[in-house]
Amino acid sequence: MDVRSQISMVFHLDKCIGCHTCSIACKNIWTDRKGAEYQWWNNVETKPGTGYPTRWEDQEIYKGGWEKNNGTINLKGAGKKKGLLNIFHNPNLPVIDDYYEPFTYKYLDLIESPAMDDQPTARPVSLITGKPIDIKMGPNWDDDLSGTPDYARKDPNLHDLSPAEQEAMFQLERMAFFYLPRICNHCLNPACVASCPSGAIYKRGEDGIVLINQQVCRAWRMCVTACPYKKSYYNWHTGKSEKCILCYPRLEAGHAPACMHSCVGRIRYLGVILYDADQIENVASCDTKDIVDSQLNMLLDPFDSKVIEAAKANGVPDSTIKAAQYSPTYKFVKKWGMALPLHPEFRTLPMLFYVPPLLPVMASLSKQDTAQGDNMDPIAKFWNDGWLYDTSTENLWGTIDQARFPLKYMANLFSAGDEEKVKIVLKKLMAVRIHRRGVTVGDIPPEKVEIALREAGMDAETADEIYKLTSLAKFDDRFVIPPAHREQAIEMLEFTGDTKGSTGFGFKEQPVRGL
Amino acid sequence: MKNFQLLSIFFGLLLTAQAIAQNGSETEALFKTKCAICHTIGKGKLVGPDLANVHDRQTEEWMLKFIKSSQSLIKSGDSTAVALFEANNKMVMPDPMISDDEIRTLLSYIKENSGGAGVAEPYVSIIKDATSEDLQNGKSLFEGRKRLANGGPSCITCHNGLANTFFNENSYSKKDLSASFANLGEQGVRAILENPPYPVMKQAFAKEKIAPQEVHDLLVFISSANAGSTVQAQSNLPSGFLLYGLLGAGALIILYSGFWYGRKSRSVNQSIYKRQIKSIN
Repeated sequence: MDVRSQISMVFHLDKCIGCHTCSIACKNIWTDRKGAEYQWWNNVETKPGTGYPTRWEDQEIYKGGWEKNNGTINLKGAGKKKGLLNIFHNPNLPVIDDYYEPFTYKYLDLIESPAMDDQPTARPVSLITGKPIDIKMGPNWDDDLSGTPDYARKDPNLHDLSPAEQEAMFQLERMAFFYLPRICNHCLNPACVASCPSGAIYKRGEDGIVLINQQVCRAWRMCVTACPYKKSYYNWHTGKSEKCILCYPRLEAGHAPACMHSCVGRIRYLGVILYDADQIENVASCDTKDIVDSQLNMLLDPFDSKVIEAAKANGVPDSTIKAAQYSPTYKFVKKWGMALPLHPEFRTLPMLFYVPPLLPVMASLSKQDTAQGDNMDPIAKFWNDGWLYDTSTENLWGTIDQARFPLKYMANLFSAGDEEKVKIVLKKLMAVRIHRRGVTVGDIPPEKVEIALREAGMDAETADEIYKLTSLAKFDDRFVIPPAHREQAIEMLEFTGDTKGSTGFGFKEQPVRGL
Repeated sequence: MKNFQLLSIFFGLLLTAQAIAQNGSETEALFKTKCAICHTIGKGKLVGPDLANVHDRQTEEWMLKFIKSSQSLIKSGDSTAVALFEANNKMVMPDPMISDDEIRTLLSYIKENSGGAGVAEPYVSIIKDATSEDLQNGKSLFEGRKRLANGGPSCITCHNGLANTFFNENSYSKKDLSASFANLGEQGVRAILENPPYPVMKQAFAKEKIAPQEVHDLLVFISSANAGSTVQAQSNLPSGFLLYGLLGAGALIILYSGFWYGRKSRSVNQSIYKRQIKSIN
């Protein structure tokens, strides 16, 4: 057992309101630079939709991630042989039009324009060429555009839904969407690291953050192709590739990453998870149907004395083990089994997990009870039970079984197509909701709550715990950041006693005297 | 390869009537230095044509101009001169740098000696049984590793075996000697080595003649350079060359398009971009 620590994330999609505050926080700190304008290390996508870059999930286009052949896995679009064949032109690389041409407006024209007959306008100009352009697309061009033929209906996750199911998703008045915020997954089996011909990308030992060494990067851009989540971006100005760094300077100082810190819906959780690195290869190359379970199995219980012992033997500090024990992500992912990885079939073993959204509840009038009922379209759902605010069905799990999104769609996103896995998670979410409704409103019969909890495989205490971490969690509950122990790290490089008497004073670079 | 290069030899030499009696031997000497390297009178073609009865073939006026500067005449487009030039491997005849009177003297000399037409003595090669030591020695002499016995400059001072001229195109002296054997034959090259006709070379070896053994060794070396010439003569392209080229290109295109089939050839947003209205041209 090779126990290592990984900082993992959980995004609770039920709470995401799609405000893009995370994207802006990230952009302001890291990517508001020349060459990085189009890079959205954090972005929020509308689902169903095509995402950013357009249709990134379609690996037949971009050839990202791993593919399994003859029992072993290989990079789908990179590696020695494929890299050599594509050495002069990599046809799988996204072009700027797959993202969008970054632009700004000539605002100064508004105030510096001489007096004329017409109002001055601020023309859009390209941030690449500096010339006026027609804006053709932006980072969130498909925002909230569920149902549109250009975006929602081209969602790659619809691939094995029947035309009738797809049509049902996009019916007028039933149409729905949810948001999918994405950052780098800091995978356990990162394709970007494997693809880099220069060896510039590495996974930090202490916390598993995947970083690109800007001094080693040689602009091969294989990582851009290899990352199935398209979270490695090429900076055309510096000639280096860049990616989400999980705000490691903030983490080292004990702060949450900017996107998480700023999250309005408080959907983001961050904490340490211990895992068994010996299993990476086996898990990454197992059958697609087993991959979610296998990945969850390689995450270790931080309370297990054997795990603690092995972790200590591997140099994981006590403070990190303690952080792992308090980790909110461990609770969501392992303890409660409510979070799933995004597209596990890419086989990179992502360490960003999502609590899938409980499908939109739709209350409608009862046909029988109101005067308006007779005027309703037959497609409208009716309600005559009276025990649940979700009025769509009499059945306990009706909202799940007859969801407006077919379960298959959610399964394509979060469980490599296994509907059961998504269904269990949704049942748990629903059970917590039913339980809390029973507690706070009291209009649900206790026996129904009992049934719901039992079928979801939890007791009332667990449900309360989940409810608390979901709805009431404070900053320190959501982000359990292990101390980085930089003071020890620096001792490996220099003798700290030299500066003991002058801490905070002195020159960063020694002044040069004379000529 | 720059054809015009080499040398050549002349044609004519002359004599004026009055000079014959008085200066017979002088004129003969002039003919020998200026013309005899490339031309004979009635003994067949050497590098240039046999000059016997040349006055029957051309007018004196024309010969005067041609001998004075054959290249100027050729460049002026004179059809006879061009035909002659073509017929003799485009071998450039150096301007002899002699006066009109001397040319006339030489012409008279040729006319006078045209009577005794004979058969050219067959040239006997002196390098037939050359050894590899001779070749090495010739190479050393050429490259200046070994000095010429009489102190003349090494060949490499002006020449090498490769293409490119040392002097400009209109010059008589050319750097590349690799084709000299093919153009002049052993006899021509030997004549040049023994009695350089070109202004620069003549000057260089005026007092320091190349010794006979050195001439022999250099000939061996130059002939070997000719065999391994780096300069290829242009040959006619085989018929169908273009056709095969096109077919081959087509096959490669098909191969590559198969190889790249399914590549991402344009942006995935192309269809969306395409129908957007443009406001900027």
